[in-house]
Amino acid sequence: MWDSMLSAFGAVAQPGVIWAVASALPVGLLFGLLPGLSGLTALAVLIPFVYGMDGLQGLAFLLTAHAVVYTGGSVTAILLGIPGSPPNAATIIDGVPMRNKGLAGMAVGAAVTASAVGGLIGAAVLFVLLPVLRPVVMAFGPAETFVLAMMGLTFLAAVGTGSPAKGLFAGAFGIFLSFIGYEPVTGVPRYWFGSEYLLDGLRIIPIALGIFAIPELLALAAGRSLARQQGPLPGKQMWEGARAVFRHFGLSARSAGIGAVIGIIPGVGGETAPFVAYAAAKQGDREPERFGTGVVEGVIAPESANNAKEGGALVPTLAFGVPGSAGMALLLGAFLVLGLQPGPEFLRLHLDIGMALVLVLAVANLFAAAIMLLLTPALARVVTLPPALLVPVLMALVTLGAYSVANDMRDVVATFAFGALGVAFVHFGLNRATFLLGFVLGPLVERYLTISLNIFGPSFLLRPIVLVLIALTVLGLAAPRLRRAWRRRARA
Amino acid sequence: MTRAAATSGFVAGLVLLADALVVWGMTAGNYPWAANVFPGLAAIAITAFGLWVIACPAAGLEEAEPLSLQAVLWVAALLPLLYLAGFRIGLPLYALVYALAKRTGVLIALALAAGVALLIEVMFVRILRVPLEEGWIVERLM
Repeated sequence: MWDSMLSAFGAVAQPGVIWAVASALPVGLLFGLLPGLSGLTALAVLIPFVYGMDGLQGLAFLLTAHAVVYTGGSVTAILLGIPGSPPNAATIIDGVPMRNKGLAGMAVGAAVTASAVGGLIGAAVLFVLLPVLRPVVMAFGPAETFVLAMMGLTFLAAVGTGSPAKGLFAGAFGIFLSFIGYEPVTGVPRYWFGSEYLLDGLRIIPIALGIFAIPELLALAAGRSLARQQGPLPGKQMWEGARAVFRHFGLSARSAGIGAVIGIIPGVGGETAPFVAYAAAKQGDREPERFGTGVVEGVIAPESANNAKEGGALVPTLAFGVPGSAGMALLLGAFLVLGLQPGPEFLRLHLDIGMALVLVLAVANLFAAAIMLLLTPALARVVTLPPALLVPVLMALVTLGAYSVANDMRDVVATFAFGALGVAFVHFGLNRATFLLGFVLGPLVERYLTISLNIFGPSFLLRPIVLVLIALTVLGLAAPRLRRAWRRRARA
Repeated sequence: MTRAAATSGFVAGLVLLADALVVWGMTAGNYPWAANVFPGLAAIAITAFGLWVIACPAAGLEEAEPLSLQAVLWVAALLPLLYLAGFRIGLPLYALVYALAKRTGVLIALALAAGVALLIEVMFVRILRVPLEEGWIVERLM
């Protein structure tokens, strides 16, 4: 083990690997900054470049680009109100109100630093679990995944700001729309009305871009500027944001832990982790009603989880050759291109490469945060540009981002259609984040409940980890009430 | 109509839409039982939460900026433009016209359009190799 670690340090310090990390960092950050271009696109574009690289160099190149996408995406989410990639949508809930208060620099500083801290914790989780991860991953089957997805659904009300009824309604509507297309187990197509586009189900990127970006663009086109500058300059605010992450280090660590655990479980999906972390942060806060009004904790929690889940997602990829996310599936392909076969044998034969990937993940997250912190003063000034210049550029990025998901004009039409829905949601006070969370979780609940019932019958609810997860869910839901009752009693 | 009343109307519309789709799936759509279970459960949740919203539609309604018809038309105009002129012509043209219409200087508007064209060419055509939609006009001319 220690030999492997020393060997990993030596391998990462090689000029070829350093070059690979350095060249992939700006690419990953740029893909994050541009709305609609996800880590998946970054990997798809970069895979051809790894031909001819040696194993670790190629993997370091791809992993770096993939891991730092969400760091870049958080900046777009806060400054423009448009999620750089779907997992950044949770950052909008408090990031945009912070920007509107003139605290854009602080929000970006906190998001970027939280991303680095989360990424480091995710790498640490991977490091700790690498030698013992087989039983950990094997413990999570479809029954446990179903209960985790249900746990996510119970957070719908917590993610919502304002009226809980409206948050739950929006979430339920998101769940309903996720059922369009093939039913995951029997393969029966639903609600497609003869449209080939609907047969595959609605895609998340056009939805996320539509409901978040179009209302923002409409407001800009109506002449509203993005920020009303107040207080210190964005550069100074940024350091306040960074300090806030360390002031709330417990929150950051807890959110990163949630992200890493969700990342480990194949099939739960990276979009869930930041929302669950946000909801947990809100439920655990003494004054949960502050969330959604522009508090820094609402930015720290989802961003810590976002980057931590990448370390977690590497666990099943390396240990079993089972990708934890779509991005990891592409990375798995790259392993094969580079002549490496992930799985139990991989860790026995190449534990040093596994350890080196942990180091790459840690280094990439640190450097990504450093680059973004250096760029923040300049990037934060984007919000002061006149709408006449911002609107056409953002419209171009949004339509191109939606189109490039599948090179399909119907995705652009879907973006506009969901844009109209987003405008209505904003106007009627319905929560867009819970809508997106419902859309992500709906198919997971359906798929894993059906599989669990087929394998175990209703007794799947009595499996030990399932019981623990149910207890945690109930505890999570009851915690704010229990705390309030406790405080009332203490005061009396 | 007040915003609270409009909220109730909008939510009621979505509730009816979801319920109608589920009933259609069970009857005319002829979906098997298993395929109707989850949409049915979701529709029940939508109906229950929708009724809750309708009972107190003003909750969570913050002061909203009024929708500007002009802004809506500017944003919506891009979609037909993309179908007609495609991304490579449509987006720079949109940037140019938009900037000029908002009384930006001609040079700045031209630079903006050139910047958008460059972004499309470098990022999406050269690097990402996205086969961009050419648009109805270009397809007819070619």
